[in-house]
Amino acid sequence: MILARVEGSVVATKKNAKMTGSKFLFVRPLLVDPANPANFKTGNNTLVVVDELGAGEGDVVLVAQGSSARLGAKDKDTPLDAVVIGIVDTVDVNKQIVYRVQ
Amino acid sequence: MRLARIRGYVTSTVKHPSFERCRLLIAQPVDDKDVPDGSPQIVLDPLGAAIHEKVLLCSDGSWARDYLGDPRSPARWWIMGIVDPKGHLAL
Amino acid sequence: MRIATVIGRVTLSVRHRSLKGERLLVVLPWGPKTAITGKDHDYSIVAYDELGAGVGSTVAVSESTEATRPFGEPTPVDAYCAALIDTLFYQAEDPRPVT
Repeated sequence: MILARVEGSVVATKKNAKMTGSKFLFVRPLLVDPANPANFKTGNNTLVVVDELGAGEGDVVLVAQGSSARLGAKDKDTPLDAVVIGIVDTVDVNKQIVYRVQ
Repeated sequence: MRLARIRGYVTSTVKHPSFERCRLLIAQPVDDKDVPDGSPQIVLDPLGAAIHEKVLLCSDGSWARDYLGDPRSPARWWIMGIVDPKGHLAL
Repeated sequence: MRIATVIGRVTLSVRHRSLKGERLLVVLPWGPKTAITGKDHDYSIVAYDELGAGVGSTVAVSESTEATRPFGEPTPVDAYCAALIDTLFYQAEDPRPVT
């Protein structure tokens, strides 16, 4: 899984029928930099993920990717390659809290 | 499948139960010029490969689970073949 | 499975319905040079742990679909801590290459 910050949402009215009712979020990966663990390094690439948990803009979320992500859907046939599996409360690196939800 | 060089081994006491009595080697995937390419992987060794041998890695997790006899094993990479000393001909 | 060093933990406030009592580790997977230099890790990922790895441990992380295998129910997890590594032997080059 990766940590990512929610930067926005994506609305698509015309989409695969299995995806009806899904909410899409636009997220940017957050990477822990071992040289400077107190601050996250933001990824260059963004991705779009499906969210069923109700994450909002600014939240840090835990994203599962690849074929594992599909197991997060209620229906096994949903075409899905990235899903939010948790809204992050704290991130602790080298026993120091580097992120805590506001 | 990938070409790799065996570069070491690991031992572990606390592990998924499917890895009991199983040799775990470190395989470094390499490109055609034997240059490391990507992260080293911990692999299952059903054939008995030696250190620094060039091997063929297979990522068929379903075969690995059959081999370990545990459908819930998280194993993925395993040594499918040991490349002959002059068996890899880069064109 | 990749070799990775544990550097931290993650806790969740809201979780997917398949997760309960999860333990999540921030790990740095080793890159091709890490065994020699001790740095040059790959970018960090978060791995699900059932074995009790602590900060500083070296672990074997199983990724992709195989990471979901240990779970009885469908669980969307793409990195799973499969073993705590006690000893690791690594030799980057063959001292006596066959020519």
